[in-house]
Amino acid sequence: MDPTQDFVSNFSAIDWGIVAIYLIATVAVGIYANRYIKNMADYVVAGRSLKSHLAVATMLGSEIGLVTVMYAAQKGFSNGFAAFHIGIAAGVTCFFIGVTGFIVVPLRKTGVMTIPEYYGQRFGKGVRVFGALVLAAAGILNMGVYLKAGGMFVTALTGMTDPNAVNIVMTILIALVLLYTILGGMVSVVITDYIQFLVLSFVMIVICFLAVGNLGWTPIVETVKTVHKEAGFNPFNQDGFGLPYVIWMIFTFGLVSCAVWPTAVMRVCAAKDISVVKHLYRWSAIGFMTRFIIPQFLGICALAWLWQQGGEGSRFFPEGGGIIDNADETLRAMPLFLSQILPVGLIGLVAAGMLAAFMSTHDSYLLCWAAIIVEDVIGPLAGDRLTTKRRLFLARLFIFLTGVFLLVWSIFYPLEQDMLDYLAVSGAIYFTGAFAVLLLGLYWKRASSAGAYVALASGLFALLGLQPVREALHLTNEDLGMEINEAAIGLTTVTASLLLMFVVSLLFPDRKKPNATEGAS
Amino acid sequence: MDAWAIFWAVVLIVVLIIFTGVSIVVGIGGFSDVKALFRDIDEQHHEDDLTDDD
Repeated sequence: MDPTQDFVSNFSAIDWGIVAIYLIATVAVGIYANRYIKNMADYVVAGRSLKSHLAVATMLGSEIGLVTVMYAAQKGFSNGFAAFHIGIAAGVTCFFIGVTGFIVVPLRKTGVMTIPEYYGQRFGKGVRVFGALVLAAAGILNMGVYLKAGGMFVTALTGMTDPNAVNIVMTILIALVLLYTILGGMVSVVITDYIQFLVLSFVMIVICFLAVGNLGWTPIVETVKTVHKEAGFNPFNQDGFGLPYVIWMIFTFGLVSCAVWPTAVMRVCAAKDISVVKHLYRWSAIGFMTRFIIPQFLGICALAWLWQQGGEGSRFFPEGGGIIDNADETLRAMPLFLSQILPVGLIGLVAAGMLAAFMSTHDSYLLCWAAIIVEDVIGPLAGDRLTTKRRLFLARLFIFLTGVFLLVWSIFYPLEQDMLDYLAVSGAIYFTGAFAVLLLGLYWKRASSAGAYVALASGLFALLGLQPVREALHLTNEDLGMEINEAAIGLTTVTASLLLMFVVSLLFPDRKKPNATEGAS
Repeated sequence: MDAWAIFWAVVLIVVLIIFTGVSIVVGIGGFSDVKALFRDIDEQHHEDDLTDDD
């Protein structure tokens, strides 16, 4: 059943014109930026020349992407105001890192370009290559649903109802992203992130005021009370999130997303010096909080608006209370709502801003994974034989191949849980181990390469948080006869990684300190 | 439930105000940083060329 079929979008030819102009301008920036690319440092970290304001804009531009807006709105729709705790966790943790420099300052001092390069400095070439493979695999898997979010947003906002529309839109989007990421590298990423940040911040603020003006504050609150009850406000309520989930969010979307996730770390490596790093995090705390809270609020507004259209027993609200149990449809609720309340012209600007956000997230991530495969897997294995020209060619080749994989995965993977939970779990394959290796590697002298291997490998247990994997292995809650959610699996994996690294490092210490330059570019 | 509703309303208002302010500051400051970025990369390339010549 297509939930959009009863709604006619306000999207018009004028709006398509705005989107087209914006996208052409973005690709033109990529082509222009290409003239500044002469070596791998220009391509990957923009020549390490980012200053504070631009560093903040580009970090927020990457982190407040269309995908974030979509999955955060889905959480707002599915859980009400209680979902705001994720934004608070992210903002407070980011600010804490900005004040203390926890993980990021010692990491920046090492002068590395990527996290696996740090593994190489600290634990040797083998850990670097293995860590890079785990990181790239988990990261690309994590990105696997981004295209789907983009496709759903565009089709719901513009009112496309053809069953193949999502796939066609996804193909066009990935082609555009590949074109200008392959051409421009980090310089074009930085510039487009900046433009996108300006457009999207303006658009999001305007939409919030329009939504409240359209629906009224009291009806929004009353709808959440009716649909979600206490769990829609109290994040610790067991009928909603519960305490383990809140802790999981503090760790995942707070600590990891700010200090361990490679695209954030890439900004750390691109920053001019340590004071810029700390400045970047203190200012970005606002963005890390906002990137969840504002879209979540839009999801809540979508909930209120759709409730006003039909109430209990309608398409999104089954008889017996609650909301529809279908991740694809709850994901579509926010753009569907926007397609109904935004006027002609503004809806085009929203689409353009969101698409730019989508492209900006994709370019950062594609660039990140390609750089890691080239610099941290192929580079160390090939030694000095890899010339700058060949490195750039390989980076561009892997960006293209990753794009093709993403398209195939987006079309065929059945998303059977909230997108935010999919992202947290697939990302955990990398970051649970990486957190242990970074934390103990940076702050504990006795951490060993054997411990690092085990910690990185243990992240694979996080795969058990993916619903289709649990179904394939007959490990669903029904099979086990007990409630085990993504948060429990994630937190257990983190604890296990830390403990394993600690114990194995004590049992199998390094015989000699690895050469500090071994494995470094 | 009402106390939570008030708390989240305050959080939302504060976030909107701060985000608006940060967007303005970063938007204006970022423009000069973009110009500086291009200038710095050009200078780096120029220095690299000189080193290669040596």
